Amino acid sequence: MVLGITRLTPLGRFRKAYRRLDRPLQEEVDRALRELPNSATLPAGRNLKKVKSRKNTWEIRVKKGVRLTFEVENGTCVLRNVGDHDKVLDDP
Amino acid sequence: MSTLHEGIPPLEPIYRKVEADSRFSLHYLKTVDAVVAVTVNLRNDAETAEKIIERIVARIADSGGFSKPIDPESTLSSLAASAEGVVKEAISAVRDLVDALDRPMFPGEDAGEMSKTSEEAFGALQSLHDRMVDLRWAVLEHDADLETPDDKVYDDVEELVADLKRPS
Repeated sequence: MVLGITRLTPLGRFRKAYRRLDRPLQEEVDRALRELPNSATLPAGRNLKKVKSRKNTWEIRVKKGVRLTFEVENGTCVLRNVGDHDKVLDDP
Repeated sequence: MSTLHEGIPPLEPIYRKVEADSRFSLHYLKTVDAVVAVTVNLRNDAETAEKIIERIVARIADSGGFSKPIDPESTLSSLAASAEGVVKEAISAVRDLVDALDRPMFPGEDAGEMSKTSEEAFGALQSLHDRMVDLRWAVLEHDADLETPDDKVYDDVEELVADLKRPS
């Protein structure tokens, strides 16, 4: 899927959420951020998809049980939230 | 130990055995009843909480956005994460119970009733947990809608990553 991301900008809440993560998880997020601009070649494991019941919000999997959400406006990726999304039944 | 009359065995050990057996049976029955009662309660409470949470998630989705953040200080988010952790512990405990009931320790009928209510509680708790995650994220995304992006826009991901690591 081509999202046409050329630039990134974080919400303040994304910065705060990132700082709350431990170092290894921050590095996982860094890896995901580096892959994000090339959305067409994102590994399948990133599970890029629209957030359920939202129009313009996307999500990728940072690692199992950790989600990062963003929106894309005119090529700018607005980073919204990152954190625990560890469901036991669905969205593995 | 005394013998009362010829042909009558000592009664003391018989009384003691009857008492011990009855005590064990009573304890066992209470345990079975307690397991069934606790797991039925767990399931009912989980289902009630899940319904409430589903209504709140739908309300947030249907609102088209409230004018103020729901969790401006992230206190609810922390509370939610903590509650999710406790529900996960309960899921794990009930799973252990379900596994234990699979073993041939209890007579079939009692095990059947306990297994049934335990498995129902297990399913209800799992479902509740996931709806709690949905609610936490519904709040996170709702509040993100009300926030304006940083002025700083990054063409270079490495610059962004370095900035994220910088202490505020």
